Amino acid sequence: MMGLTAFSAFIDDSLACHVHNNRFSAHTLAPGLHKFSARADGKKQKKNIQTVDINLKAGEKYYLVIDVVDRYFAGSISLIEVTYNTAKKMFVTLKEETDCGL
Amino acid sequence: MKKAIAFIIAGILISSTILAQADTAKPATAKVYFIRETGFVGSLINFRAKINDSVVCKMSNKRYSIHDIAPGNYTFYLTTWDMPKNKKNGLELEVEAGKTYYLRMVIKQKFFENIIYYQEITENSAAPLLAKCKLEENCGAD
Repeated sequence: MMGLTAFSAFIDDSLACHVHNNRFSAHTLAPGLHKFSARADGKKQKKNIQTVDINLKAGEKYYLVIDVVDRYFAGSISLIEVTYNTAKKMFVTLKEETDCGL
Repeated sequence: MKKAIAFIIAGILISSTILAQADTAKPATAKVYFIRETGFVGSLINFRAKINDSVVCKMSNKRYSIHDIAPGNYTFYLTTWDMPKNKKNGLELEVEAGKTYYLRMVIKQKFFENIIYYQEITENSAAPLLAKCKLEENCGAD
């Protein structure tokens, strides 16, 4: 579902990447608290959107999956932080998003 | 002198008691959370949570369960009444004593079928999901 749509991923209210289906993007960030979110399209973050807040530590890697859950009338998009154990299985089939469409 | 010896013996007894308590306080198992918040698709069907071919839980939508599991290597996977063999989509996990693992059940629509599998997620992502779900107690019992 929604496989043709490029989702918009936001870091601290700024658009970080348009992520297509079966793609991933990597971002280098300064340590500290950052807010991550995603929506189906658009260049601005929605108000009242649920964010994933992570206090990043230097030298560590974090993996966020853009997830679609089917609801009764529409799908809801959210970010889920997964462990490396789950991410390494996903990387087998994913390609890197090179320019992120920005 | 006698007081000094009594003081030393008491000290040894207290420290050995504290060490013994520390040994018993160390958990011998890991906590594994199964979380199902899979939305509308397949919501009427129970998922059977299997660990190494044994059914440990029958899980409805918007539920979670907690399992104490001995350390070791396990394959966690999900089946349904119409998908009794699904080990190929299993999650292999080395479980360590004293740790907590959060396994989220995922249903993904493909062109002609749905696949169900586990995602190991962090506590950070598990917390809001757990808040939406109810605890399924004794979910392994028939």
